Formats: sequence, C-alpha cells, structure tokens
Amino acid sequence: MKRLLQFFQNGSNQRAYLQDEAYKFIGLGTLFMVLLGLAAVYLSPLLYMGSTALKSEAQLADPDDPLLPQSPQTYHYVSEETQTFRYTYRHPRTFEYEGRELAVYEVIAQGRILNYALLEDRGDSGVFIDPENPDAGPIEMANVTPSGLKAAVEREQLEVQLYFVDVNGVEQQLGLVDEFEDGSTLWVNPENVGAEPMRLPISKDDARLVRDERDLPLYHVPIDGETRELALLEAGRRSTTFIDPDNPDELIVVEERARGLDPVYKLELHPENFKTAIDTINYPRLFANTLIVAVVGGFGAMASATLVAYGFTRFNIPYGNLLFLILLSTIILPPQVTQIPTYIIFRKLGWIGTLLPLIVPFFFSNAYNVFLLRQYMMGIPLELDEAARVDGANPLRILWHVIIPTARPALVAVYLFHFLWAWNEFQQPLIYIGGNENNQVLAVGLQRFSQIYSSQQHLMMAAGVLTMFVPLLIFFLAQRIFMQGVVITGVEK
Amino acid sequence: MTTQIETAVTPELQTEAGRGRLALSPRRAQVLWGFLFITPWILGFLLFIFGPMLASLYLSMTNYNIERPGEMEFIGLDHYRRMFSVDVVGENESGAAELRSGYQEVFRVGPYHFTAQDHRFWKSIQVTLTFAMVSLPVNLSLSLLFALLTNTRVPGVTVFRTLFYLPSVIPTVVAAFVFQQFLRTQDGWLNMHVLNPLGLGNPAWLQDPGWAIPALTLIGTWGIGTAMLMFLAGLQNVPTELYEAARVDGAGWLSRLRHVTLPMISPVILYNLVIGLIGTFQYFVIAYSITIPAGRGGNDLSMYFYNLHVYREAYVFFDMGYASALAWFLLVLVMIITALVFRSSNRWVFYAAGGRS
Repeated sequence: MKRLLQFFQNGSNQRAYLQDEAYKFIGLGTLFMVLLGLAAVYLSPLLYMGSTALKSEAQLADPDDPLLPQSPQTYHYVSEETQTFRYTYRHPRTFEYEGRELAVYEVIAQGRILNYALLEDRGDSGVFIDPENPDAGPIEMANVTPSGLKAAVEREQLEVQLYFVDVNGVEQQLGLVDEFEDGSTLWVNPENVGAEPMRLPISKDDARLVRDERDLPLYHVPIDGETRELALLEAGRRSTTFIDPDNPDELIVVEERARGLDPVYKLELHPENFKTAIDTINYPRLFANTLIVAVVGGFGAMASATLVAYGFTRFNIPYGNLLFLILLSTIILPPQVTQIPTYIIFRKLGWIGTLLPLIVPFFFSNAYNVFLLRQYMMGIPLELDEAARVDGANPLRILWHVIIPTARPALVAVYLFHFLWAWNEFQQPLIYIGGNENNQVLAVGLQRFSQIYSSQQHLMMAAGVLTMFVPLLIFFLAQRIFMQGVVITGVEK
Repeated sequence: MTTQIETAVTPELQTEAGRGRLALSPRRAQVLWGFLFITPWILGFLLFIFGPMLASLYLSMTNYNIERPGEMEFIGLDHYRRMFSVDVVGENESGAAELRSGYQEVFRVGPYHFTAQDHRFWKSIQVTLTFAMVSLPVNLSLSLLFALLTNTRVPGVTVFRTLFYLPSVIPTVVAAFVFQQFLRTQDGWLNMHVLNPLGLGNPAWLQDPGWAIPALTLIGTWGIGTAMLMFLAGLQNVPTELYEAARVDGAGWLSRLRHVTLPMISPVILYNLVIGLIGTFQYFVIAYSITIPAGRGGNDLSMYFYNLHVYREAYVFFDMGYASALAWFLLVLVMIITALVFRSSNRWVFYAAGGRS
C-alpha cells in the first residue's frame, strides 16, 4: 500500500522513466532496421552470386530476370477431344457374295467399263457377279481371265483417328485406317498420305490417342477478391479463358486481358552448375595447387615469424630496436621494387612455372606476422621463461614448452592470415606461374575462366562460390581469433 | 620488456669485456641465440628485400630486357628522363594541337594539351591519384559509419559485424567478376533492379570512362572490413567517462561525435589512411581482371593503374629496366606521400596520455 502510494506520488518520474525506455527501444529498433537494410544492400552482390550460381541458362535468359532462381510455372493441359484427319483410303474393291469375299475387276462389256466381282476363274474364261445386281446370277465371259484385268479401286473417305504408335522403338503419330481380324492394324502417316498404309502387328489398344496437349502458363488471377493460380488457355481480345488446374473440366472466362497479370514463379534450383564448373576449369587441380601453396606457405610464415618474434622479444640483440624498425618499415615498401630482380632470380633457378616462388619466400618471415607475434609474446610474463631457465631449459626448449603453447592463439591467427592471403593472392601467381596451367592456382585460373565464359554467368558464379567456400568456412570457424588478430596488428602499436 | 633485460644486463656485459674472457659467457650466448632466431628474417631481408632493391635500382639504369639479356647496357638516367619527358602544347588558330613526335596526349585543360613520351605513365598516375582521392574518403567514412553503427547495443550486433566484415574474406578475383556482372549495363542487377526503377538511368559502369572511378570506388567498399574492425577497436577504447562528461555538458550526438569520438580515434584514422594509400598504389587485381580483355586498363585507359603499368612493362613487354625505374619512382612517391600524411597528422591526430608515439 505504501509502495503503491509512492508510485503514484512519483508518477511523473515513472512516466519519464518509461518514456526514456520507450525511446531507447524505438531507437534500437530503428537502428536495427537501418543495419538490416545496410547489410542487405552491402551484400546484395553476394545474393546475386549465390542466386545466379543456381540458375539455368533458360532462367538467366528470362527477360523478367527474377532475383531468385525461379521458373515460370506451367500446367500440363490435355484436351478432351481427340485428333482426327481426313484420309482417302484407296484399296482394291471387294464384294461379299454368299459368305465369300470376291475381288472386283474392271471388265469391258457392252462397250462400257463395268465393275464385276470374280466368282470363279476357269482358265480360259471367267465367271463374274455384278455387284449392283447380284440377283441376276453369275455371268460367264469367255476369254476374260483375271490376269488380263485391272483390279477395281475403292476410294474410301475416312475420318482417321490419330494415335501415338511405337514403331520400332520410335514413337510416331499415325492415323488408324483399319483393323483386321488377326489383331493387326493398318496405319497411315499423316505427313505422307500418298504412301501405302502400313500394317503393324499391334492392336488399337496398344496405341495412345493423340489429344491436344500443351504446357499452359500459370498466372495469378484476381477473381472476386481472391487471387487464384490459373492456367491461361486462350487469350482473347476482350476476355481470357483460364483452366483451374485443380478442376480442369471447368473453364473460367474472365473479362480481362491477360497481359497485365503476374505469372506464377516457383523456385527451381540448378546445383548441377557446380559440377559443370568443376569439370570446365579443372577445379581439382587448381584447388590442390592452391591448398599446397596456402598450407605449406602458412606453415613457413608461422614458423619463421615465431622464431623471429621470439628473437626480438626475448634476447638482447645489439641494434635490436633499429633492426625491428627496419623490419616494420618494409610494410610500406612497394613490392614492385623487389619483385623484378626476384623474378629474374627465380627464372635463373628455373622456378618460374612452379609453386616454389609462392611458398619459399614465406619461410623468411614478414613484417606483419612478426609484429603480431611480438605484440603477443611481449604480453607473456618473463617469469615463465625464468622458471624454465632455472630448470635448465635452453632457449629452444623454452620456445617449445613455454612460448609456443602460450602464444597459440596468435600463432593460429598468423597461420590463418597467411592461408587466406595465399588463397586470395592473384598478382604473384599471375607473374610466377605464368602459362603453366598444371601449376596454376584458383585465383588466376578463375580469372581466366571468367574471361572466357563471361557470357555464362551461372557457371562463373558457381566457380566463384566454390572458390570462396574455403575462406568463408575458415572465417566462420575461426571468427574470434581472426577478428582479434586483425585488431592486434592494426591498433595496439 | 626488452628494456628491463637491458638495464639488468649492461653492467655485467662491460665487466666481462673488461676481463677479456673468450669463453662463451651467458650474455654472449644470449646475443648469439638472439641472432640465431632472427636469422630467417635477416636472410629474407637480404635475399628478398635489400638485395633486390639494390638490383632493381641498378636495373633501372640499364636497358635490361629479360628476352635479350645479352644486349644489356648501362644507360644512366635515360629511363627517368623518358618518364618525365612532358610537353604542354597549345592549340593553333584552327583549333588543332601539334604534338611533338613520339608524344601522346594525357589530358587537356581548355586549349592546353598535356602530352608526354610515356603517356601511359602519366595516365596511370592520374588514374591512381584520382581513385585515391575519391575512394579513400568514401572507404574511411563508410567503415567508420559501420563501426559506429555496430558499436551499439542493437540486437544481433555481432552478426552485423560479421556480415559487414564478410566481403573482406572473399577472394578479390571473385569480387571482381561478381561486380563485373552485377554492374552490367543492360541486365546487371544494380541498373536493372535499382537504378532503372528509380529512373536514374543506365550508366555503363565499366565501359564508360567517366564511370570507371565511381564503379571501382563502389567495388572498393567491399574491402573495408579490416578498417571497420580497427575503428571498432578504437571506439571501444574511448573511455565512457568522456561521453558522460560531454553529455553532462549538454553535447548532442553529433557534437559528441565531433569533439569526443573523432579526436579519440584519430590515430586509427591515420593508420587506416596510410594503409589505404599504400593499398591504392598496389591496386591491381580488380583493375586487371574487371576489364574485358583483362589487363589492358579499360576504355581510354580509365582503369589503368600505376601497378598495372609496372606489370605490363615488366611481364608483358619484359622491359625490366624501365619497369624497375617505374618501381623506384613509386617507392619515392609513396615515401613522400606517407611523410606528408604523417607530417600533417601532427595537426589532426590526437594522442591521449603519453604524447605522440
């Protein structure tokens, strides 16, 4: 009760406090949004890279160029109606008479050409039936035999159904002309109706009816306040006909033109780009070379910097400070000044085109690494050395058993710095490896690849992702060591 | 800590010397061990730095070409003379300028044509210095902004730091060709999804010589991670009492930034500035690989950086004598600029407690 009273008495104070908190909250919220926006803008090229690496060529060619690897969606439409075509089936005429199938011939009689069905061939004469008047009975004609007669041709006007037919393993669209009692069927190719129809030993049921099949584009269609995904069947001048994929029997006609509608996109990734990129640039080779340079060079950089930093921090070298100053001043030395004679020496040694120039020089330490390790080692208490020395340890043992274990984070930092630097370095391999593709490293190999394949963005980006994979992995795994190392070399001079 | 040992050691060293003992005293052993440990650096310095420096100084005064080593001759300062053979030509009445034979135009100011024998040399200096003047301020302010924004209590602040540092880990070659595509004129993301919808046109970032420096500056912002971390460390070292005192005095956010933060982190600004300057003179990878064809310096040499010029003279034309002269000129230039920056830093860099280091 007392507290409550106090609360009300201090009401204004409380309000001010709450207000303060609210401002702080709003301020941090705004800041958060600002940072989020900044990060999105700043990293958008990365997004471009990742997205493009997973796109297919068709997706890249899409004029709408969606940000993500998406493809316009389609609905596979199969119409109810089947397809037919008109076909004139020419075949020898026959006539059915008393349960027999008789061939019909053109016979010249009474000065006209008549179509008579052959009932019997007697060698020197023929017995015929007039199909138009079979009740008149057989007509015997002397000296008329089938060998001297032309068979009558029937022209049947057919509406032929189109089927997908498997002919010797190739699917063809053929029209069904006739079915026979032995189960075989007669087919005509609609693209070559002049040819003889072919008889195939299959039944009609083995073939599939051809229907109107199309991939219809799907659109977001607003209908009665809700947006539905519909397939565009027919775009008319005033109205548009859609099909609902969920209910294909019913057509939806909308009094609106299709042009303004948004197509439906679905995510469709193409990770096979990575495989293509790996095969195209001989990635394993480049990767192995880069790894050798980074791993061995990193070891050299770390080991030599450890020795030199140990020498500078723990021993009273005459002119030590001067020497250290010289060491530091090499930081601002442009490498071009030393590079040309070094190149000439490497060339004389026959090292150009090999990995050696990218590895060996780092076994002689460099200013950044020595500086980082010196800063760290100066923080290791001398008492530790003293204790070991009293136990009779020589400087090498002290280095191994006292300094190195204590300075491990800094050593790791040096190693990782060099590793990443070597992984990314471009100018040195460009100069020293030159045209020897077998010993090339990723950075240069990738640059050459990007010049040749600059039109195939998706492959380039896939190769790029593959190249930055290792540095990113190291960065994320060793983030703290890494960021601290950056700061030690930079600020605490 | 080295000084501690020194004071403890010196008197004994003298007495030993006085006694003239030849045996390896513990002190001498110390010196020997010390030299042993720094041997890798001494060897490296002599083999890869000092020796080559002298050699390239000598080479710069010869016409050494690695393809024709037999024809090497000492030519004195001819290379340096060639570099500095410049001529300013005015226009005649019909508006044409008559250039001296072997001279080519670098740039013109009104009717005056600045021509030089090695016009690429001057062009590369122009490009490099322009880039430094545009890109360094942008990078410094942006990295400081990122550092200020991530030096707050905003939720997920470490994630943001990581995100802003991330591009610095990406191999520069990869960054080069990502931006090569990202900045395409017709269908690059920046033009197609940002500038075009906003009605800002379709700049030909990498083809139009006028857009070359802005494009490279934009790409350069991807390398500011290290500078940001430096600033961040500097900001965290600023004592909070200073801010509180300023707040008591009624200083707003902006005035605290101006009167407390900036002076306190000015050493870091100096450091980042010097490192950035050195980096600009080493600028190579992006200038080399972002143009098609690679390594030619882009349209109208708009991306022809100094380092690219040295590279081409040395390893494309194998004119190593002239390339050495270019390298030595660069060394002198870098030293002068660095000295100037350090000298000016007396005025604007504030070292708290302990004076100037």
